[in-house]
Amino acid sequence: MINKKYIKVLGSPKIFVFTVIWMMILVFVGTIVQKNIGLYSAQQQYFLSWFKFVGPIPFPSGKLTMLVMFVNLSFYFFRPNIFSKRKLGITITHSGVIMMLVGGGLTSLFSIEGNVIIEEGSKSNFFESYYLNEFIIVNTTNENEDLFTVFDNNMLNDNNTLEHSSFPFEIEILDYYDNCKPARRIYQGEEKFQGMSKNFFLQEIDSEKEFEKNIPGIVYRLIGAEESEGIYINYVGQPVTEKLEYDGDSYLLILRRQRTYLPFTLELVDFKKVLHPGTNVAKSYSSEVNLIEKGIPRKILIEMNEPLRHRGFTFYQASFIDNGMKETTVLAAVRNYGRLFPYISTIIMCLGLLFHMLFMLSKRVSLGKNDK
Amino acid sequence: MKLLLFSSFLLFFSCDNNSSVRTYSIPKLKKNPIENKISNNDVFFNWTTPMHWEKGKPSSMRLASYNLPYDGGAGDLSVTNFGGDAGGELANVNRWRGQLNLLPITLENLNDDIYIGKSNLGEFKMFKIINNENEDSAFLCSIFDIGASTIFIKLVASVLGINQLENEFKEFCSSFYNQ
Repeated sequence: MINKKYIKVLGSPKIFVFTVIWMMILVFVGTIVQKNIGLYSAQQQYFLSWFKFVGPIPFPSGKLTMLVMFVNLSFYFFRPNIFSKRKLGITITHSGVIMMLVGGGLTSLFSIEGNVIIEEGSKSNFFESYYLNEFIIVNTTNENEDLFTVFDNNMLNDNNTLEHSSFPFEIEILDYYDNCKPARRIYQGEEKFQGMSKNFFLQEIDSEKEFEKNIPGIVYRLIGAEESEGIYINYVGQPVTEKLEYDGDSYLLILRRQRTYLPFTLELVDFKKVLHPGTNVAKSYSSEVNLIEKGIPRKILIEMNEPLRHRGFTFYQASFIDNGMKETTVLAAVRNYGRLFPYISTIIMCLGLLFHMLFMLSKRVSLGKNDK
Repeated sequence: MKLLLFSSFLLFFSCDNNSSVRTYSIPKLKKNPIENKISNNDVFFNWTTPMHWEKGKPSSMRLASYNLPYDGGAGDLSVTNFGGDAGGELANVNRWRGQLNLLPITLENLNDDIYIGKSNLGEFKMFKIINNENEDSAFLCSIFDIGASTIFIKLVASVLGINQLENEFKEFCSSFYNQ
């Protein structure tokens, strides 16, 4: 068994009290700075990272604080007699809090969110992340199918080299920008520029407060592709796709929002928008969609407070685009494995506290009777 | 308990949702029949495009469409071909001006702001149409009168885009040749 000394120190209620107070401070500061730096940056800096550096000094961020809280609460279970009648309520309550922390961990690690944009009469079987991007190399040589090689967001760092057996060259990332804009190149310099970078370069600009409005960009050098070697640029929403030919194969190089493919397809049948009378302000909007699974369509109405939940994905009616020609719906899509944890853990905590209070009450009542 | 604790930590630190290279194949989309119909094979002239232009969405009216990148956006270039004089230069220029909420001009003013270029296919007339009150949309339009039909090349972009793309547009128009 673990040494009692460690159990006492690591499972000390004082640690829990300090971590709760620190979390309250983090929530307060995070909420205040969110006004200036935006929601996404505040979440990343104050809650989803291990440390928040204030100058050179590291302060524990939400992730580390929650881990300390989790370890601290877990050590309760190494204590003796935790299932005795006297401690059972506290044990149940601890279980509830731990479950909530586990749910938070699952959400932080595995939840994905983004949006699905579908034009009336069109279909989509994927959603695109608000914040994450991916770099893809598509081999289009085969007449029947395209081979996609996808590099995830956290591989897109300065000086990182991307290589894979599916293509015979290397990509050395020279710069990766969270936000940039293309600008016309005036001087060519000595470098060999290829594709769009012959006429344009990417200019890094400050991140937008609403992070999803950023236009990420990448500057990279292609190595080992003979005549196609040189410096290329890509940015999200680039109107011209970078293409190259090498060794008889054709490739496309694309930077785009990270896609999550769905095990079904959504088709927008009709989008309806109801305005407040006499105004242009939307009162409500809804999307009539066909959920197509294994070739079988099923009509479903997604409204502002009535999302579609299917196979672990939830689709909320978030917005719309009306360009005067065709209406387009924007659905917010979420997949969250920890979705039910807060509900279940709250019920467990309530039961634990109720049990404990009833036990203490009955004890006091019986003590009172004995006093008489 | 030690094992349980160790397993929990191992599980926690081995979790990673986003650090991989993935490969997958997707069947090519079947080509839209309209796309084949508007290929240059059906007409007797052709042109060349810069490498950085991308083919745009096909349409039944257009022989070809291209997206032309400029700072912060892309212009939409279309090539169309109509029989005869298709209404004549003045009517078409005034139609384009109307699309930008500009007043029509007269035949006397038609040549005031015109660029005449040359190509292997013959002479073309280019019109730069800008409404200064609307910087989001402006046109560069060229007309090739090739006798039996008239070729129209139209570029739609912001005023900034039109100014940046003007030379590329002229070069494109000059690249037209008999096939």
